[in-house]
Amino acid sequence: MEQGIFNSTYQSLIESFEKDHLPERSFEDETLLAKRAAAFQVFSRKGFPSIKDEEWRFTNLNRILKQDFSLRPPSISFAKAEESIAGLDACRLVLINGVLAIEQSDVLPEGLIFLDTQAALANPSYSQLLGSIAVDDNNAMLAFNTAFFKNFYVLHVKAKKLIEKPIHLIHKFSEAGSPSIIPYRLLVIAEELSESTLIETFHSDGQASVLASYVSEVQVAQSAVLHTHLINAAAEDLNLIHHREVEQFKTSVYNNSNLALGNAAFIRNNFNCRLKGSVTETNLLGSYITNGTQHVDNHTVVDHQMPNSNSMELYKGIMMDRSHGVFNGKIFVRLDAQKTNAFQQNNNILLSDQATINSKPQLEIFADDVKCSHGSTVGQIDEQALFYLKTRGISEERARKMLIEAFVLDVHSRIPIKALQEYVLQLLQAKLDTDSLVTA
Amino acid sequence: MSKDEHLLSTLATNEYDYGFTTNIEMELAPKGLNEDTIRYISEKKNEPEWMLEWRLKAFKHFLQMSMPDWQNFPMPEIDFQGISYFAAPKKNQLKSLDEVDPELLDTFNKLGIPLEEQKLLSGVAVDAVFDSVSVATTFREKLAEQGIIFCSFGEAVQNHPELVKKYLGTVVPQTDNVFAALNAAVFSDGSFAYIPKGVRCPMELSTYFRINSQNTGQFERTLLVADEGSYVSYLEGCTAPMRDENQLHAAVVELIALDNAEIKYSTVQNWYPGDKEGKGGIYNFVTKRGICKGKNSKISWTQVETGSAITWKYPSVILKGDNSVGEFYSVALTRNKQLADTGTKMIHLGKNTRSRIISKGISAGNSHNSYRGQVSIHASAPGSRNFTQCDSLLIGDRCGAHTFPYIENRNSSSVIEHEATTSKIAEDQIFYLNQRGIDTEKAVALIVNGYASEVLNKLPMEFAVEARKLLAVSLDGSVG
Repeated sequence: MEQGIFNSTYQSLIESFEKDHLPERSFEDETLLAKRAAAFQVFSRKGFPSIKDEEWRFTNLNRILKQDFSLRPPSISFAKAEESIAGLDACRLVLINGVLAIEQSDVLPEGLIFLDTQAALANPSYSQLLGSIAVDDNNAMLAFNTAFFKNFYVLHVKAKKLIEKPIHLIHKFSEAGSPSIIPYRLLVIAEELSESTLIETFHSDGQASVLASYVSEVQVAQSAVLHTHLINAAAEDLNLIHHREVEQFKTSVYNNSNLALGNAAFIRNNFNCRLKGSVTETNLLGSYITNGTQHVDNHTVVDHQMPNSNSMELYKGIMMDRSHGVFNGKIFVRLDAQKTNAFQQNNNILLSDQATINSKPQLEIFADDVKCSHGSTVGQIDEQALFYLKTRGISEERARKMLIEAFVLDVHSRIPIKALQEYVLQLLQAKLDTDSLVTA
Repeated sequence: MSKDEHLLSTLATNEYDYGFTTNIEMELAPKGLNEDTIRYISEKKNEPEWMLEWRLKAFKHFLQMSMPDWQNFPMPEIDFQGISYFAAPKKNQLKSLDEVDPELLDTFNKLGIPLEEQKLLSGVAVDAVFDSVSVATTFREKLAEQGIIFCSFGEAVQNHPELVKKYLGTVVPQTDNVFAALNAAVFSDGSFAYIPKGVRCPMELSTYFRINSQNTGQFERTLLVADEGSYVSYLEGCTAPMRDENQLHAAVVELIALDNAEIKYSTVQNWYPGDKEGKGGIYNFVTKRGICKGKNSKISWTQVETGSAITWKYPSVILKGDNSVGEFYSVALTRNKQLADTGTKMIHLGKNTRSRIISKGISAGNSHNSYRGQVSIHASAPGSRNFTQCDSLLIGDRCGAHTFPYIENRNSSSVIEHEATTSKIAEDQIFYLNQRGIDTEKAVALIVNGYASEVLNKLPMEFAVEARKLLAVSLDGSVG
């Protein structure tokens, strides 16, 4: 029995699949079209996930699907993406409403390949990988993306290349006329013994009214090191559902930070790391600062499949006003994954009586020689610390800001790029510069 | 066979001490579940009309409900028509213990529940439930002197209908879940206790459950009301014979604590767990819930779960009164092919309510042990506090430990803390004990006892001793 959401947006999507969508995709090869057809079946059967789906229990999509979203044709006129990070020396790649704005993008250094949809799909090695890393027949949103995505990008780091300059991928959403749903995806391949950094930032111009469905598949080959950063600085007109699936092979390292510091109305992150090789290292950082009626949902999975791997996960959140935070962290330790060390921590501060947090740290362990732990807390600003600062002549408002900054500094200070740290601090301070802080 | 394998196989084949059956003349209801069964039970128990109607209403709900699908184990097929819903030793209406069938007394003696002795020693007041009915309640007069009512559920329906009517189904409604609905429809007996205002119950109250007959299910119901300012400590123990087929135990326990009252409820559950192939054993699907209805009240659950093929229960507390306290202490040990999906719910509704959860899971053999808990602090509960610790210990590489905590906070002055760890027994700890001349087997037992002591210490004396023994027996021969 399916309990999904089958509303008018769903209906119009189902109708447009064969009528409008497939004819546009005639250049694609049969394997991909078959993948799309299978995914379409899943999506049409399950609909948009409702709160009766355990994975969506605390995140009600009905709230954003009240608007009628439609698939819009790729926009041709590009707004200028002004966003940049001061002091960051990086190669810029700009996506506007999911479409590559080539004239605003930089040339990449040697050892790096970045391909747009046509070129990426023309290469069978990429089109075959597409949809083979993120596999889940129960995930309706993933299936939706596979069936309907229009743009597909590949970022390929060649073997034994050390790319010192970070790549800065800008996701910008701008005015689209009517509420639109934008499915697009990215494939990142970090070949053996390579090291590289990918920074992704999300922005919007305030008039976008967009539901973005973004799927990124990431492959970290043997002994490769990959750092990724996701920073959401969008305005409230953005609703984002991001699914990232990472597969890691022997002795590889993957680090990510996922920060929701903007005003996006709705963010859902599915972040799955499958550790398919032994002796891997995975560090996942996250922060979410929400106010107004924002809803930020982080679902993470760390799946230890082979022995001797380490994983660390630290997510911190601050909820103000009537905002809602959700954290669900799963750690799996499979039968073969002996000598695993897996740690997970989620700390939250509620600054308002109308704010809500749902935290669900989850461990599923099938091997015996492991060290696993998780911790989760929900609390407030420490009254004693606040008092201490006030006795030093610091105003209450200033003191509260200091303590909140310190609370998330634990996460943000682990970002290895100085310019990025400063950018994050700016976003945080802008966020805290509201009245919501003192209501508590 | 290596030493480890040998030890592990001893662990697996460890005898279940309570697997005997008692040959006693029984009165059995015909198999099957329909309105007639319910009328039959109700008539047998000579129940008033309102009770029958309540049962029938529950049965209607039951028919509309479907089996849950969220649990962390494959749901066994349960043939509700293949179960006999009423089994009682013949010879009813006992005036005193002397009239109890000697064979039955003997059974309870074997189980270590000497009803006769209990009469003499100032120890524990026992209500013994054999299959479907309560067979004996001790110390009744002595308790009655203080106004305490402790009797079988059937007697309570007859003698104290106003209390039963007032509280029955107020904590676990008939519609709560499919097994609670089934229980409400066909429950055969159980215990009832009422502690009047300001009375501190002078002794531990205790129920002992025994499933004896084949093809029966046990559906008992416990209702415990602690009036203002009273205190009671309640113990529950269970055993069953070894049988090849699975038997269903679907009980409901309701606790009600009014202003300033305190209830301490302890369970040592040792139902037959099935053999090492996972054949037979009890399905222990129990709904237990308490409500701290009054201000400053307290409910504390302590459980030691070592038996049952599948244990599926979440003793919970609804913290409605301001400043009320809920506690949950649990040790769940699974081995062979046992499955346990257990935990608690703490629902904070009143101001400044506090809850504490300590859960210790131990998995050995091919078993799976899950902790599933919910801590929910509502907007109406400012100043509330929760602390949760759920640890898992893994013995052997074929078992699993799982935790599913749900944490929810809806106000800005409450604090929730949750921590969980999973590990095996550290080799250096065993080495240290070996060095001091303690063999590995004993070392494991020592470490496990230490690991579980935080919970075991919460048990009343008599039970703590039994629980320690139970853990030691169950763990015999397991090496980390």
